[in-house]
Amino acid sequence: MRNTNNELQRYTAAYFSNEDDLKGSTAEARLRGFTIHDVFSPFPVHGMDEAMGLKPSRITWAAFAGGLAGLVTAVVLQIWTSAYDWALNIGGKPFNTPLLFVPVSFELTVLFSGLTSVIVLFYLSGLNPFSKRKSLPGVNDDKFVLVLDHSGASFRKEAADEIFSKYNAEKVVEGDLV
Amino acid sequence: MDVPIEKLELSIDERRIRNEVGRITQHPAVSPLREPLVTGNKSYSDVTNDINVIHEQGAGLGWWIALAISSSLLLIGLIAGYLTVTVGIGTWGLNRTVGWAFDITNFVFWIGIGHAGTFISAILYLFNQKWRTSINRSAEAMTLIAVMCAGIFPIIHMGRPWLFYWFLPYPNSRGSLWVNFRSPLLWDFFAISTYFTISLVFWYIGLLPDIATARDRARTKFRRKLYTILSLGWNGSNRTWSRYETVYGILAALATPLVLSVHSIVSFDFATSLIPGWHSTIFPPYFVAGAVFSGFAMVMTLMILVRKVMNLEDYITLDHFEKMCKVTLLTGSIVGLAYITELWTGFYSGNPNEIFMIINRVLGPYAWAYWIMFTFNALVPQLFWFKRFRRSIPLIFVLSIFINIGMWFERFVIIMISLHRDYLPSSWTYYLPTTVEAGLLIGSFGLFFTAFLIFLRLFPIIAASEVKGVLKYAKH
Amino acid sequence: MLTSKEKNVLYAGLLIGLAGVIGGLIYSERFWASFLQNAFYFLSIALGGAVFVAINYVSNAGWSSVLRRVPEAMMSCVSIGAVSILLLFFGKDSLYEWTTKTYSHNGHELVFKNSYLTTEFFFSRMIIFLAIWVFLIYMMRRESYAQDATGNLSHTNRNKTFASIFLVVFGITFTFAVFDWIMSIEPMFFSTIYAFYHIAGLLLCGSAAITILTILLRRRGYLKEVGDRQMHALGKLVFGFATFWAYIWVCQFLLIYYANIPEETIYYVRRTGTQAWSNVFYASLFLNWVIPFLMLIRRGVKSSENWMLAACAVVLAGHWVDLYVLIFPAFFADPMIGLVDIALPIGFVSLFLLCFARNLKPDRMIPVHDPYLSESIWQERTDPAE
Repeated sequence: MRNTNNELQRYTAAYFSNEDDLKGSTAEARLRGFTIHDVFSPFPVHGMDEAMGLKPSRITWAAFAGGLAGLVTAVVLQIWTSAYDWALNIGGKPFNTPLLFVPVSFELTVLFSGLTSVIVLFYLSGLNPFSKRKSLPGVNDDKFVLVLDHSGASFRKEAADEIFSKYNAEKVVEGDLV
Repeated sequence: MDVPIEKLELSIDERRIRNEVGRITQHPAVSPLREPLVTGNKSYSDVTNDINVIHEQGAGLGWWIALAISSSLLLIGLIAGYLTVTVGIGTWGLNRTVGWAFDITNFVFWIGIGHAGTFISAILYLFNQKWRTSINRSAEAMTLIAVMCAGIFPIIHMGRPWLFYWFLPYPNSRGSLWVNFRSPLLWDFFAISTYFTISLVFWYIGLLPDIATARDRARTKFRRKLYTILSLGWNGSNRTWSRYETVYGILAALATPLVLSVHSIVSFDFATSLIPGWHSTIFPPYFVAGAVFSGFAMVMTLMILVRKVMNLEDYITLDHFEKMCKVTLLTGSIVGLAYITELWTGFYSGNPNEIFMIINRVLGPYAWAYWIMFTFNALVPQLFWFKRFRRSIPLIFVLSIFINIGMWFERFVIIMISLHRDYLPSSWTYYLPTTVEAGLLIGSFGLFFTAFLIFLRLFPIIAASEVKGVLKYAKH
Repeated sequence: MLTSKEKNVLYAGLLIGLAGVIGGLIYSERFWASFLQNAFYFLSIALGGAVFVAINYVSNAGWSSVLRRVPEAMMSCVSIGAVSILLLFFGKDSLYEWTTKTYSHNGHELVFKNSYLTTEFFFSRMIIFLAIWVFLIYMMRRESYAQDATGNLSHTNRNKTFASIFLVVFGITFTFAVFDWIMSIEPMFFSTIYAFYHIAGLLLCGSAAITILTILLRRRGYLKEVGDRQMHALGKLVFGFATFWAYIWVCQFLLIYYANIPEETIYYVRRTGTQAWSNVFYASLFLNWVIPFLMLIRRGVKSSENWMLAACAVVLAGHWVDLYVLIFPAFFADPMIGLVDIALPIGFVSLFLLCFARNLKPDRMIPVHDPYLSESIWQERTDPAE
């Protein structure tokens, strides 16, 4: 990753052995003015979003929009085919039977909503089958990692080391973000 | 945290920061009555190892023997299917009076079994039941396989199954002749397609972090390539986890009404008709309860085998079985209540056709099927009131099989007994299955177990990331 | 619990109710239908509280302990609810046509229906159902308070047993109770899902009532320990039960509409055949599901007391309209609201609130020795401290 001066960005990663230490150090680092690049864990740590200062996701709106699209599609499809394009007398029922269009409408609402949410998730998070992204060692196993950015003047080595030792960091690694 | 003496006088900023950190890192209180969900003092890496070692190491002899058996059953099914499609539905025992029997019984049976997976994944998630984490992966896989087994039957029971795509409402050269949106059989098509898709997506999303773990540990080139593609570049980033959790919650909230709707729509296949014993308004919730009931029984059967053979007793504990037995008891009781309601309403209605239908079920030529159904579904699960039965693995194993037999017979009783003697006595007849139909039933079990065995070899069968999330729960 | 001014208002309400009873008996043809509707509503609230308590015991729920006294006080009103249902005996000829008729079809007597719907059998069943509920509810309340008095876990364990028994017995007895008390108003109509429909309504109005009463008590300074977690859970329950009720509503309607069998469709023709009844019928769907669904779907709203009060009030009104649609079309070609329909609910609400307040013990509002209380009291601190 390159910053505005086209230099490779430096980072410092601290490895912890449990989620409480990770959460505490993340919260403290953010409150003391560090820039958090990201936090890595083998499972979603409850409260980590707040520790990092993340805003709630907008994906729920995508789900809602998808569901609405599904509902409209289903209603239009059924009414147009059954009552307008080629209306057939089925069991003496009226051509437009809203009550009987409920099942398909419901299914398409759910289908569109679910698929939209997942597609938006993949897009926003860069998840795709061609991704060559590597994981930091152990984050999908039993390590919990806090990665601080050196961008701007936010990184102060001594203060950072104090936080890391306060929360029992197992190791601290510096490097360039690629 | 130790505070050095000279730092006791904290600045306001410092105090604010400490308070914020304390607030963000707070832990919920846990009652002393709660039991830990994972026994054996496991660490995070223990969890990773215990679970991944199963699909990483070469298959043991037991696996090969099981596969041999299930593949043979599957082969029988393939032969029976081939005969059905090439020779025709005449190879079955159906006649003009009994137009549906084994085919739709099997269809409803397998769809029903699939519902437990979604119940465990989605509904228990919404109720914050942490014990679901060690069984949800297998249960969801079971759902997908069961839905595939189920879907075969509606397709194969059409006279010309190669035309099944006519179910899709696409503009065509026949008019355009549109599908009948008012038919429950069409609703089935939409419901089951949606259910399969959403279940697949839900299962896959849940798998992503675990595939990443498998990728990191992969030692063969094939597995590394496979898991790299399937893991989509997952790297444990919390920015991703955050969105992931939101989507997981959305899928759970969608899957819950979906489960109810799918089996309700399946029940509409019968309840929208005019046949006594079929047209009964209680069918939708009754079928849904029955589906969760049979599904949980199948999950328990499978988990007993899996935990024993794969040494996962620390993850799928007796406590898990106790809770599953309670859900089985609840849903079985709802099914029992529905039986009582139907018995009573048949007589109360005063309708001679309804009254006859009840008498024919209970005392007629197929009464043996009714009594198997009633005993195994309404009476047998009542044993789970007793703690001894809820905590004994051998007893649970036997009872869960009885329940599945009972639930197969429930669908058979509803479908076949109502059809073989309905309004016109001159049409009354009997039904006997042929070897082809029996072969299809056997084959569906073969497909189910074969697919499940393959799943065991390829993917982590317990949601390791979710189990790690609850590893520390109730460790007082 | 109640100020003397409030008590006076409620006593006045009781008097209005009594006036409604006397005036209704003398002047109104709608009296007994209205009395059944309101008495059953009142009983449903009490039973809804009992079912909530029982489910939470059986599922080892941790979040609800802190507010359990609210549904316990609700369920303790069951005795008065039982008495009001028993009073239906005096209106049996107005409500149930089978007291004076026997049924036959094409010359064949409907033996089962005629022997099932007799005054003696009907009221014997009623007494048995009510007695069972009163007894089991009394036992559950007794063990719950005993747990607090002695701190001995055996009381909670015994209550888990009582709760399980109650749920099973309730499922069966309530099923046949609604078949008797409400479905038999139209004796030729039958629907196997009918009991589930009523159970869904009971769960819905029960959770809404618990929510409203909890919020009102919190505003009076009691139940300060009830926090966002409980409000979120209650909001989700009302949302879920409303959707479940709508699901049952659609199922019964769709299946009867689809099969188009006259002996069943007459039920819905009565309720949708005229514009007036149709309006009330669909209004019930709006109040019980559409509005609560829209109001409670967003996560944040459950923290707003006023919003929750409004949504639950809509639900409670909706359940009243639901019962109106269940009972009245059998008797009246047009829906009408008269003095009786205003006086009786006022009377019953006053009766309920007086009873509810009497069943609460202000010094024992939190079950301090409940084994799950620690989980229930813990609240996530969301406001940054100073």
